Amino acid sequence: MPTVSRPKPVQLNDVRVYVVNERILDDFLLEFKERHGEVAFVALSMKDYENLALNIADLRRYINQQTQIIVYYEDAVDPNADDTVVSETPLEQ
Amino acid sequence: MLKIYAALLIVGILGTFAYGAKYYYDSTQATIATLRENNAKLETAVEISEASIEMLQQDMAKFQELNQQLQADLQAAEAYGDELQSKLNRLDLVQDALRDAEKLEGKMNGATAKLWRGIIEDTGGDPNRPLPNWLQSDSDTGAGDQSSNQGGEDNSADSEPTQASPAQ
Repeated sequence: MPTVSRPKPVQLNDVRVYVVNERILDDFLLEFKERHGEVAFVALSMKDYENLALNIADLRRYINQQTQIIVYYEDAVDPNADDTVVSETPLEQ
Repeated sequence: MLKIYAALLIVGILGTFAYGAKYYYDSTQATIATLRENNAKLETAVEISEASIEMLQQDMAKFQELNQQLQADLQAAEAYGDELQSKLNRLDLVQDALRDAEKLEGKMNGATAKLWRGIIEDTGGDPNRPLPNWLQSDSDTGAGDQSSNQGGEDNSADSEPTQASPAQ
């Protein structure tokens, strides 16, 4: 049984994370404005960052397990398997 | 005249016996031939049945092996999440950020870059993509994330997309 080709690999973008505490906040704002022109950013608490990381890890687990299941079925319907055709021959009376 | 009738009667009886014997012989031979033919077919059927049983046993062994491999692979896929959960439980990121934000930032960016490249590899892409220069220039990308620096340098700016991977 023929198997279909896999989807093309994901194309992911690098993401830069800034870690800021109260002590370096002013320096960070200055540096951020120099680098990006404006001071506008998305902030995450440490707990939310952890949740985001765990969510992505779980999605990765799901992708990998789906892939393993696909590999299982591909191996199960391996075209090189020896399929014997069994036919019935009626006996003479 | 009586002798002639008696002789004819005897000849008739003998002829009848001979015909009966011939008929019995022919029908017996025909039955033997049919039985021989049926026996050959039954032997073939038995061979096919044995071959089918052997094939089923081979299939069962194959599926058992595939199932064991699948269970092992499914378990292995849990490793990254378990490891991350364990690491997050062990660390106190808030305290680490208060103590040395720059060091923690390097570790996070290193781990993030490594994660993206891991997922790209998982889906069949090329994991050896160059790292962005801002990650290269970070003073410390974390002791556990040094392998994420193997991709070489890339002069892209913040949050630039990685190079498009070719379709397979």
